[in-house]
Order: sequence, then C-alpha cells, then structure tokens
Amino acid sequence: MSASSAQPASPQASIARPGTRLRKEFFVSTFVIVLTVLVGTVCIFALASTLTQSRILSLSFDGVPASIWKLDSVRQDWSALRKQIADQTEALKAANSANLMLEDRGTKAAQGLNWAKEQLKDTLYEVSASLSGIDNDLSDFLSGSADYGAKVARLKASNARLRNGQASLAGVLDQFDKISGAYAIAKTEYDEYDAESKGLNQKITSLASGIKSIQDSIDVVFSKITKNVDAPTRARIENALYELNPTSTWFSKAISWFVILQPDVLSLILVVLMGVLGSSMQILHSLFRGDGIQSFGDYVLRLSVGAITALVIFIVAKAGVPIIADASRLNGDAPINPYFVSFVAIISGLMSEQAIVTVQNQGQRFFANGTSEPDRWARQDLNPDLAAQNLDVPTLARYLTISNEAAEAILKGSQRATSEQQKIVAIYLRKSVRDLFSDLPQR
Amino acid sequence: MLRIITLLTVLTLGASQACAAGLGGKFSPLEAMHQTPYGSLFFIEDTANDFDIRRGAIFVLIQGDGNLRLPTQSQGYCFAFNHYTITDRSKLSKTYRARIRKTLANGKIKSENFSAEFIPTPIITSPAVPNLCINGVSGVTLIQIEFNSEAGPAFSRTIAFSLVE
Repeated sequence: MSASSAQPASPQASIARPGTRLRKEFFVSTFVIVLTVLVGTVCIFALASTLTQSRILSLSFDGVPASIWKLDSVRQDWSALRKQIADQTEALKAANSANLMLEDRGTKAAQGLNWAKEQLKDTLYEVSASLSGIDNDLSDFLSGSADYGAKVARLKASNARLRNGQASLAGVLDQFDKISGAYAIAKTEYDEYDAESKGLNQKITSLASGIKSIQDSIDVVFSKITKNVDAPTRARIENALYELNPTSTWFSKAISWFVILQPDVLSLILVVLMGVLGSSMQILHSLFRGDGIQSFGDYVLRLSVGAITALVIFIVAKAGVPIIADASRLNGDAPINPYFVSFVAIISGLMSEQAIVTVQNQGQRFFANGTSEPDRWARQDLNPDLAAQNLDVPTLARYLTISNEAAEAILKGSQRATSEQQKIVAIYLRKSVRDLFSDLPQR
Repeated sequence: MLRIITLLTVLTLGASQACAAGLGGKFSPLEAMHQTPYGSLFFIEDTANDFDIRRGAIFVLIQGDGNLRLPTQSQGYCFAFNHYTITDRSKLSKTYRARIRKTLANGKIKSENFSAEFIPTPIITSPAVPNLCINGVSGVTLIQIEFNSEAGPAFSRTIAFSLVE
C-alpha cells in the first residue's frame, strides 16, 4: 500500500527537481560571476594603489626616503591652502570683472562731471562778469583760483541777496542754479563710482596679496618635507601630492584611501584580494568545465581558502623559506614588486591545494628535528676506519647516547643516522660528513 | 664786520639765484617730454599757437621760477605742462589757470586771465598737453605769468621774460 502510494509522487519529484536545480545553477553562477567581477574591480584598485604607493615611496628628499603618512599630512595642509587659493582666485576674477564693468560706469561718470564742470566754469565766468561793478569782491572771487566747491557755496550764500538787490541778475542766477544742480548730480554720481572703485581696488589688492601670502605658506608646508624647496624639488613634491590628493570622483577617493594605507598593510590586502581572485578563477574554470554546481557555502569556503593560502604563502616566502623558485624576490627587505606579489597570490589561490601541500612539506621538514638536514646512511662499513684509528664502538655509542648495537648498525650503514649523529661520527673518525654519509641507503 | 658783509653778499647772491629761472634741456618728441617729472613746465620753441603744437615740437624745460631769457618770437610764445601720469586714472579734467601781466612800452600793465580744462593723460604719446599760448606781443616789453592748477602744487609756477624789440 505504501509502495503504491509512493509511486505517483516520484514523477512529480523528478519534474520539479530539474527546475529547482536550474534555478540554483542560475543563482549560483550569477553569484560567482558577480563576485568575480567585484573582486576583480577591488583588485584593480588595490594593485593600482600599490603601484602608486611604490612610485611615491621611491622618492627621496635630501637622501631620506619619502614617508606616505608624512606626505599625506603635508597633502592635507597643501590641499586646504590650494582650496583657499582657488577660492581667492575666483573672488579675484569676479572683482576684476566687476572692476572692468565699473570702468565703463566711471568713464561715463567722469565725462558727465567734466562736462558739468565746463558748464559751471562758463556760468561762473558769466556771473562774475555780471557782478562786476555790483559786487567786485564776489566777482573777483568767482573768477579767481578758488575751487569750484567754494565758489558755488559762496554764490549760493549770496543768491538771495543778489536776487533781491538786482533784478537783472535773475537770468544768470537761474542759469547758475540749473548748472550747479547738474554739477552736484554729476559729482555725486562720480563720487559714488569713485568710492566703489576704490573699495573694489582695495579688495583686488587684498586678494592678490592674500594669494601671494598663501603661496608663501605652501613653501612653508613643503619645508616640512625638505628644507631645500627649489623649483625641481617643489615640482616633485607637488607631483606626489597630486597623486595622493583625491578629486571629487569616487574612483579617485577609493584609490586615495588605499594609497595612504600603511605600506605593509596594503601589500597584505593586495595578497588577500589576489588570493580571492585566484580562487574565483578556479571556481569559474570549474563551472565552465562543467564540473557541476556546488553549494553556496562551498564557494564561499573556497574563496576563503584562496585568500588564506595566498596570505600564508606570502608570509612563508617572506620568512625566507624557499617555497617559490625565485625566493630572493620576496625575501626579507627586498622591495615589493606588486606584479610579482599579485602573481604569487593569484597562483596560491588558483592552486590552493598544491600550495597547502608545499607549506605542509616545508613545515614537516622544519619541525622534524629542528633542522632542514635529512637523515643519512653510511656510504660503506665504517668499522675498518674505526679500527685503523684504534677507536672502539662503545666509546662512540656513549658519545651518541645510544646502545652499542645501534652504533654498530649506523657504522655498518644498516640504520639511518640523524644530522647530529652524522656530525658526531664524523668528528670521532676525524672525517667530513660528506665523505662518510649518503642520502641513499647501501644495497 | 667783514663776516656780516660776507654773509650779506652770500644771501644776496643766493636770493638772486632763487629768483632767476633758466632754460634746461630740450625734449622732443612728446614721449621724451612725458618722461620728465609730472608738472614740469616747458617753453615750446618756434611755436606761437596751440594748433602748432605737434608731436615733433621742441619742448625746452624751464627750471625754477623768476626771470627768464627767451629767444625773440614776434608771433607769440607757447608754454606747456607735462601732465602725463599713470597713477591718476580718474579721467577727471583739471582746471589750469594762468594770470598774464603784459607791461607795455608806455609802462601800462595789461592783465589777462586764462583757464582751460585738461584731463591728465596716461598715454605717453598724447598731444593734448596743458598749454598756454600768448599772442599780441607787439609793443609789450615784459610778460609775467602766474600758473596754477587744481592738478597739484607742481603746477604753481611764476615766470617773467622781457621782449626786446
């Protein structure tokens, strides 16, 4: 009964399963591809940043290599000063532009005032001539060398008196009132322009001297790096600072964030990212080869293994353990070549299993007896040599802290001798280890 | 006593020197004239009317105030000021005045006032120089001119010259 009820369910399950599998394959494939693209992008940032940082760090000032943090500190001050210069230059441009426009107004105002002054001069001469014989004192004053302001003021003060006393003066005084009014308006217009122009010119002078002062401050900031800020040094510092200084784009900001990281940290980040990239390559390759879709967790695990393997291989190689063909390129204080480091990290991620085995082998050799020298066998029976020098086995056994039988076996070559034992036997027989022992056992 | 006489002699000579104007270097063309200090006064050689003042005119510098010996020019005499400046960019005209006193052969004195407007120029080749031309010199034995201007004290000058018939 149970068997017959289970039968119809089986085709449904077999129909549903391929659909689910396809969906799973699709999502996992998409995830892997998106992840690889993302990892690739981040790797581009990390590699570009490492190259930029290496280039900046290769600079030296007064024989002292540049420090990325010191340069970044200078960059912050320099950037703030540059912003001030940009702002002031913009303000200076605006002020110059306003001044240019004001110049036109000034020309018109000056022309108006000059014309009004000419008119006023003629009118004053006319009034002066009319007053001759009526008020000689005032007439002389008006034709004299006093300034126009004083003449106008005095004539205005006498205006009412003159009008009351002499009706014939009404015409010329009316003309004077009209012209002096026009002169006053023209003068006011010109004075307004003049005040504005003086204010603007003062602003321009102040902005120009401000820019000069900020430029001097930049030299002071540069002197934090080197005391001799000559033109070529200034150019080199500025080039480095421009590389460090992010623009408003997110790409530039991301690069800048990476570049100012501590150099060793950036190298390790590059290694880990390249390890992840290597693993991603391996996963993509297996997908294209049609090895089948694995679970989501498997892929995450593989990526983690790739990252950790690359990091371990890098550390082991830096420690001086010969796990890569050209170990000198990663040894100790050797300068980091970002491309080589990336290559090592990528292949570590790509071939993580092999990399782990290589590290394991190195570890085994290292931990076996605290030395990398292997156990060896005697090349031939060493008993005749012992006898020829009147030496005996028990004494040697005592030096080796082993039994007489074990010492006999080592001398005959039937038992392996450790590195330490080889050295003791060689000293006892007054010969070299190379002459007495071999990596191959006797036949 | 001797010391007092010596002192008086020195003072008298110094005073007479101070009251005597003299002709200095000749400047031509206008660019050369405009290189002299602002407010320099010139006698324009062989020129009697302002329309004759051209680029190639010869400007003779008048040094100091007082009596001057000028070459005889029957048509008249022209004088000019250097008002070339690059600091005054106001474009405002300045009034240049002159009080001219002509002493006639019969001893009578004839006064004339002159004034004109000129804008200080920043153009070194500008021919519009503040000038004063005196004509009608027939029967005149002495001419005294007092210059002044609102352009500055450098333009306040007094000169006099005799005309020989």
